[in-house]
Amino acid sequence: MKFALIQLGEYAHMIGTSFLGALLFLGAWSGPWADTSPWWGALWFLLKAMFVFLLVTWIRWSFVRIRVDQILAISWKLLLPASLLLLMATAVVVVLRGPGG
Amino acid sequence: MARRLGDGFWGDLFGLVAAVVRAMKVTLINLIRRPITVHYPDRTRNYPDRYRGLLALTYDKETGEENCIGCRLCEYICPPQVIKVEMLKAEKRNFAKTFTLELYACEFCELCVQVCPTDAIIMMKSFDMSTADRRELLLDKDRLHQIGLKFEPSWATGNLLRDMQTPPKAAAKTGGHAE
Repeated sequence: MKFALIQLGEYAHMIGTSFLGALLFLGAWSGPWADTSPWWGALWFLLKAMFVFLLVTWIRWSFVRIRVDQILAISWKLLLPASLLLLMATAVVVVLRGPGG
Repeated sequence: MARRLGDGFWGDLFGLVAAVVRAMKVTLINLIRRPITVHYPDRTRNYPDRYRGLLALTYDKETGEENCIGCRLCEYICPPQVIKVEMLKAEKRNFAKTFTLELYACEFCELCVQVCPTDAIIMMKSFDMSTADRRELLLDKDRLHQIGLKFEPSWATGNLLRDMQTPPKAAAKTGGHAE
């Protein structure tokens, strides 16, 4: 029972995160025919959230138990510099194109 | 395929992206394809042609008599000693008065089948004896006969196996080299 509750909490966390991701990054309830009926908006939001949930679970299936020293090395030596590079590239693009849009 | 860090930043980054794509492709393929397992009691797989599973006792096909003559050869050869036979002396031939086989300790080595002179004990082309109670696997003579009628027998009987294993005597005598 204890295990079931913890597992349930973890999945609730994942579902909540995927709804949040769909809301923030994928445009939530907007989509084709969304202005004709509120049901379309609900359907689009649900579909987008389930897509994000599929991405999350897909990554969980693919990378079960990465060794701690490997994930640390990848995070510090590769992912952090790569995200800094992306940040600088975004800054350059924003400066060249101007804000907004 | 396991890459370690150490190819420089861009090499490591490319290797990481390639590894991620490879791993996620594997899981995506496994998400789409049909499962390999089957729902066992509802659907069964075909057994291989030479499958040798459960042990059973047989009847003579022509006369309908039991084949077992109670000679106890299987009891003597059985390595885990799970077979117990009592002989019943009779006029024309002997019978097994009792024949018990403790299937829960059987190691399925098929030696009892190989020594049986009358093809009385054979193996079945099936393994459907799963149970939650170990006592159900203590098979007496009646249950062994039931198993023999219920399932399809496998191809091997004692006489067949012995014929295969004896060297071809006639051919060795006539066709031997002069040395």
